[in-house]
Amino acid sequence: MKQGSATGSRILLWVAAWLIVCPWVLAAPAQESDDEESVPLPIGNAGLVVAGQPEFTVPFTLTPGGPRFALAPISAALGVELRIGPLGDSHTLIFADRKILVGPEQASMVSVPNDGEQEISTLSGMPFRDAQGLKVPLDFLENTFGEELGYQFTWDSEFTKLILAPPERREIDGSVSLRHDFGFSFVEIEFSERPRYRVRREPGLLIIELKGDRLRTPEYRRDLDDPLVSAILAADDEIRIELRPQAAAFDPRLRSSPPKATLTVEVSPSSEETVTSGTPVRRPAARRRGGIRTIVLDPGHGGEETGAVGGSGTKESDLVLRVSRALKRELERRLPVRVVLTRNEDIHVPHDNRTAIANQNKADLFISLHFNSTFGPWAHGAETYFLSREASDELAAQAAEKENRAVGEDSPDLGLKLILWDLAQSFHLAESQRFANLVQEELNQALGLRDRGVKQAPFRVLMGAKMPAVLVELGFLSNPEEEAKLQRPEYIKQLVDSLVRSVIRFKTQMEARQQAQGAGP
Amino acid sequence: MNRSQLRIAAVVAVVLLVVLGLYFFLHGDGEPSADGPGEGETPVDETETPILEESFAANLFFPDGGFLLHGESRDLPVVETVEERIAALVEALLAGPSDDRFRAPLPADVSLRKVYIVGDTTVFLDLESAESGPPPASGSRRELLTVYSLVNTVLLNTQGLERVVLLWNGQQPTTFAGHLDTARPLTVNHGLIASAS
Repeated sequence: MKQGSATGSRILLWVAAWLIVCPWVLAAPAQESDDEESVPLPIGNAGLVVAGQPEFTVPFTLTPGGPRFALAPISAALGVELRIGPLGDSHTLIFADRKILVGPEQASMVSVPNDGEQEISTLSGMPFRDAQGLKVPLDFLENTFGEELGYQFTWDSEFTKLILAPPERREIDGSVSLRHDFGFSFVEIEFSERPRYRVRREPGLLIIELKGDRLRTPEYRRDLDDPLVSAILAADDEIRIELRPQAAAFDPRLRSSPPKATLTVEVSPSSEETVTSGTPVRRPAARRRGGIRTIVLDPGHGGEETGAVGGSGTKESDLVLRVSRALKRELERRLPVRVVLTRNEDIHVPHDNRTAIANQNKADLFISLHFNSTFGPWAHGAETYFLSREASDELAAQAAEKENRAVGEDSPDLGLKLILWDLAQSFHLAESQRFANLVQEELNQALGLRDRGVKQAPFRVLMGAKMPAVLVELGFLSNPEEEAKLQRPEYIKQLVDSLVRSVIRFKTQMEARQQAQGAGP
Repeated sequence: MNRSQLRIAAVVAVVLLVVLGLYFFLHGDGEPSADGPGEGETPVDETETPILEESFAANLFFPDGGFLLHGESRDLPVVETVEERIAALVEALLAGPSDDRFRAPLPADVSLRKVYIVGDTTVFLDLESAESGPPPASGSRRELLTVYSLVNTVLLNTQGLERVVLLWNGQQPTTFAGHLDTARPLTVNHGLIASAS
């Protein structure tokens, strides 16, 4: 009995001991399982592997749009200077021939060549900032360290390694063609792989200089019977485009269709002030003289992006190109202006390049032309938009202002201002609204519409424009009657005439205002 | 049971109570920790956020055939977290209106892949299309109605959220259908909502 009692006590003590341990045993796996459920977007440290160097650690975060890597340790590992704005938002990478700017919550980067106009490119997702600094998507690394220094990036998500292959000297094919269209010449170089290059200018010359790549094509010189381009010379590491004295070349545009890429150089007849020296090509200095001298027309969409498609199959991208060409002819016939199209064929041009073309040309007016669609068949008529800002943009603008104030106006790093390039249009909203009103008035009158007023929306194509800019929807392709009307040349002519009248009225009003302010010619 | 066994039984009972207390203390009761993320932790707060309300009456914003969005009242099933609430709202919106004057904002093959809340106020809606192509081509008016039917429905039916980021098949497009800037977060657009009259 005594033995039984002792055994009973021992059992009770074991139970007590197990019960004490139990909570930890039970709680531990439960906690783990909670973690598994609640952290599907992990933060971690990736190993940065650069050949011939010890492995670095780069904090990264997996976001819904892919991994984001901390920028500072990567630039330090690759020996590239990184300047961070006083408020920690703007980040500037300093390369030999350009600065590249990026900031949080904008899926864009701005590249500022030492000797040229800024270029804006879109990123696959937004960078963001946390306690570990600014974190950027992989394509930002490819577009900066990859393009400038030739590194190739590979992200190994399984082993969380970011592997950088040192630059390799590739041999690529480059076939050159030339065409002349609507008074412009287009030199197109089709590369077998996306080239790493930079653009140099010398008097009468535009040179595409390959960086780290070689052309497989044997050296040649081709003399041409073209009104603007006299010859094209290919060597193993560069292609030279010789311009005639009256010609001026725009900065080339690269279109990628992997693995191939096509570089297009548009050459235009120059005005008296165009300089084809070693300095970047200068466009007619319209603003210096005041008034409206250069207008950029933007036929919306293009290439695979058709835009709206009518019930009878009318494609918005085709129709706007037709209208834009007719409008260009009519504007140049009736006004002393130069008109540039952002595309003159059925190709895809990224939104940011469209405003970049307007900025490069120092345009005084930017008109993006579209045709509309909605869910039902009854909506009809024209709509004119100018840019509206999202509330988040206001915060960004305030942050930029603070940052610029902190840097000071005399700072050499005024490039900080460019980080919010898409606020450029903010300075022209009043003029944009004036022009939008005139466009809408003229269209209402011509089409017999009741006045719906002008509208505002955060349209991407208007954001970077450094001049008055509007987006005009000229009719609804979702409305079968309107789609049918839009096939008729006389209806298109009515639309074109309305737009020309609105430009004439805006030009007259603007020049009168400038004259009144003593800024006129 | 002798006195010694009674004493041990009493100890066991006390231990049992302490153990139960400890278990609930360590395991928690489903409430998230009051502590926010520490320094260096991800800004993508995936901890499911509890909601306090028990009923779930929603106002979904559907496009009409022309220019505007119209609110349609719905009673949606009660859910536990804000993420689930947003998913329920978006799924109900994608399923389409009950009023035949209004339209579903996106084709039937489009579905919601995932909802994320980043920081405290930004919602990422990841949409996917069965055909895995880009978002449907359209004119700007249809694009505005589509995008803001989602943005307005999410933000006007949840508290504390201020911005929506749209993803398409996991990627953030620069524009949704060639016009509207979706490279940055979007806020409520009251101007597109039809007045009650």
